[in-house]
Amino acid sequence: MHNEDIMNKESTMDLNELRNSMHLLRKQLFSDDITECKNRLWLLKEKLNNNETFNDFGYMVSIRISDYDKIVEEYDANVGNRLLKQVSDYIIRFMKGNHLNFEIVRYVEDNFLILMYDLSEDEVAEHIVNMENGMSNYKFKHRSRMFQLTCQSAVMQYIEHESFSSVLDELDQKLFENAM
Amino acid sequence: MPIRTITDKQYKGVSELYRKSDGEVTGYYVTYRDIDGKPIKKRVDAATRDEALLKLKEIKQEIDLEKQGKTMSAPIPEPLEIILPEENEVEKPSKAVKNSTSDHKKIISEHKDVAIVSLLDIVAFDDINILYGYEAGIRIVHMMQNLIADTLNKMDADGLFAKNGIAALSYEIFHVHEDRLCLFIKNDFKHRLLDAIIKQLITKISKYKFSVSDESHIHLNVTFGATKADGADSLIYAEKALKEAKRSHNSYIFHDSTSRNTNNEHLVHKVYEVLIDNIKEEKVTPHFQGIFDVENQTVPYKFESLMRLKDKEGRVLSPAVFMEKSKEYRLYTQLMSQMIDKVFDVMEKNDVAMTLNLSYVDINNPELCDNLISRVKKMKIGKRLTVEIVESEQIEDIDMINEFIFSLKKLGVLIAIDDFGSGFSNFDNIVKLDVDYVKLDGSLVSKIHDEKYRIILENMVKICRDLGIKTIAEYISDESILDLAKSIGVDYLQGHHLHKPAQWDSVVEKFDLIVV
Repeated sequence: MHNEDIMNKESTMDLNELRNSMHLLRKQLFSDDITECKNRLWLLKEKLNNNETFNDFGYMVSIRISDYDKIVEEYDANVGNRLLKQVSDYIIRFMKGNHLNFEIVRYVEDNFLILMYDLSEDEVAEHIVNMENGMSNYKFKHRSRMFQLTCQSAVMQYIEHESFSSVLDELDQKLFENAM
Repeated sequence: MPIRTITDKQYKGVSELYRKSDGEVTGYYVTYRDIDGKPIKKRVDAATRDEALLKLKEIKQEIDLEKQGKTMSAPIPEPLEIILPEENEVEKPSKAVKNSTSDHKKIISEHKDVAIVSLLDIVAFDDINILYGYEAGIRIVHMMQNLIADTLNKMDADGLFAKNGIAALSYEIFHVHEDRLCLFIKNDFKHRLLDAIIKQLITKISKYKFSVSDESHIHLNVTFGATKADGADSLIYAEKALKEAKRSHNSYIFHDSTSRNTNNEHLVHKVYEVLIDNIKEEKVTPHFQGIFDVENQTVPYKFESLMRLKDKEGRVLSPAVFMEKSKEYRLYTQLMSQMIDKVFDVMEKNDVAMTLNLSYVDINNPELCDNLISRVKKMKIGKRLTVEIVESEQIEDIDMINEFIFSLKKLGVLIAIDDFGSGFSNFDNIVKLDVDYVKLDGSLVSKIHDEKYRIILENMVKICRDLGIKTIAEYISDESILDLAKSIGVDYLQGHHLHKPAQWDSVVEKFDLIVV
């Protein structure tokens, strides 16, 4: 083998290693520190344009765990974090089990945002009803403690160039109304 | 003629009555103490001494039960008289020990502040009743009550509660029924303190020597289910906790009730309403998913029928929402009967092969099975039907399942086992049951990219092939899984990538099927 070939091979290997490292770094940068979800930074950098408008279209579902604050107050943040992880695992499992095209972000505390694609509004609503109802049958556990958690949800369609904050505001309003 | 006591210890309490000159035993007497402790000798109708012994046992059991009823209805227990072995150092029972069966619900529901409700069951208490008698069982329950009271009192005396801000410990222990006790603590404990207390009680109980006779003692284990709440719901939460503890073989589960006033109960109630509505309005809707031969992925070889319900808004609900609840509410059989009717209607109108999922619960239901078999016979659809046995890990009575399988096979029905390989527990079933197909567990198939899982699946396929059983790979969700499934030699494929479950009309349209 010529020296040039050896050098080419080595540089290709270096490049692959670099790519893998970049991929890993990117994954870590955009991962939530408690759950398997993506984080806010991912939302800002990957889903939104510079002016904080959406760069694609689909449905956004806002999910909040009922009485999460009370649970953290009664137990502690550690128990709260464990439950956040279990709830997000449940949601991811549900979405994957139904072969849905989705992305999930932990936006703040117990507020998850699910971005769903390639579905009609009725299909999104149907999946969310099934997810919520299924969750009420599910037993979340931390050590010898059992929690029967439920969540509140609201769905909004979003389109390209629509303001993220206005969609989020409308979702918050819907969540509030649904809770009433 | 004299009554002769049998010297054999085994027949203690049984006497023989001689009447004939040849010494033939013509009757038996049994001796026992009645409910008030008075000795009774009574003639029993028995042909052999064993039969007489059985009669004596029955009489004693009745007396024990009467005693139990008497004790349980008494307002304040007499178990205070129980002499506990000295080495256990159990003091005189506390006044907190109550035997009333009816009061606990009233007292707990009327309590206005936050309190701890803990239910506990003695593990395998039936065995104690059977082996040592009901009287010993009752005595043990009372010992347990006293032991718990004594342990709590000791903790209090040691200042454990004072250190944790509980000025005055206030509790009651009720004997609810049989082996169930209810510990009602009228204080608001931090959850870590409650954990520590219950763990100490569990340890204390497991180490305690419960005397069953003058010479011997036994050790017992208990299961605790607890909650912290106010009002009537707390007993229900404790009940749920105890149920979960028993189901998961944990000695203790605490049911959080922090979010009890939110929509969980509402959702559960809504599911119940959906179940009732679907049954009344006959809204059970079968969906069908194609199962394809590996050599032909355009037209399904047969269809799996899957149960779906509809809510009031017409949205389709998946089994994860209603299946468990329908079993809990004992409404599942009605749903399943509707499902069978609707699947058979499709089969009657269309010359297609179908699979029908039946669980161990279904096969255990004679009415459902008889109805199924008679309809298969009447409609002559046996050769187009495959019965898929789901949740096969629950199978306990293999003979009963085989009996059902053979009655179906006589009609030409084929048999499949679902979720083969889940938990790696049902290998035994494919040997003991006469099955034609196995469905490889979807959770394994979904990990087929992982070489270790692929090796496991490949070997499962090989085992099935060697046993003459065809394999179906579920969860074919993309082209790469499909290729790998084919590469390990499965016979049939099923999954969203090939066909999404849909109502029959859509299936007919998609595959251009001819309706008869």
